Amino acid sequence: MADEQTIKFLNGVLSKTREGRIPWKPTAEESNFIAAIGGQYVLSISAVDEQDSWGNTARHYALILRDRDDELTTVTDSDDGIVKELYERARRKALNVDEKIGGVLEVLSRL
Amino acid sequence: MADFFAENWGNLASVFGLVFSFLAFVFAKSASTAAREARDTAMRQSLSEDMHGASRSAQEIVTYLRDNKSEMALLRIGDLMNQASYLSARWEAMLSEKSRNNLREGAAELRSMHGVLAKGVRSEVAEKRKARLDKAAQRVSSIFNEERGTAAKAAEVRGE
Repeated sequence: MADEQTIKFLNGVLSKTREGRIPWKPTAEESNFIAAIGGQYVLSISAVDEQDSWGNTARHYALILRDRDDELTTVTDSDDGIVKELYERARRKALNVDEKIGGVLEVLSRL
Repeated sequence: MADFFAENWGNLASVFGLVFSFLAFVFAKSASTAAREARDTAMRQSLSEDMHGASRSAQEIVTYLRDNKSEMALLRIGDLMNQASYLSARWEAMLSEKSRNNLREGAAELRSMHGVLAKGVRSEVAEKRKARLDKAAQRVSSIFNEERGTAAKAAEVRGE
């Protein structure tokens, strides 16, 4: 179970992401997005597919806070289900999904 | 006139002393300001040169990836990660929050590229993964180019 401060941190990141205030960017890895904030910290959110011994694949999500090369804290979806929502929002922001879908809607309206 | 000087030479010497002290103070102050400005200019010039070096390395990574020279790209990524750490540590106090964020973002992006390339360097990097790497390299190059421009502009403005 994550401590109170970590939960506050996660909720803070989610709330600012919902407001579009965190500049999430794509990386060389398909399912990893990063954002530098405050001139010092880097947020990194990833999705990892894991296969259990039965061959079932489960997707896990992790939010990492880094200060230079130090990993300050990691929040995974086992700590709280909202990490998945955060990942999805970060992905949409990093890839400009909403703007692109808006563009597609415009094209569709002209067809 | 001679009597006046004879009677008041002490007072006159005090007045002259005061004037000279004041002038010496003014000159010393302007010399210290000039020295500080010269030091600031030299530092800005040095920052600009460091950013220029990092920007050149970032452009080399783009070229190596485009030419499928993965191992050379990996080496350059390692170099640039070191340069980014140096830049952050050396110039942190002089950089704006935006520039510090840019450098952090660039370093994180390089770390991700290093991870992807290290996994795929022995085998053929899949086309999709290669396209993502190329894009990432281009983003890193843009970041360091922007910072090079910012540093050069600061050096020019202060140098005028």
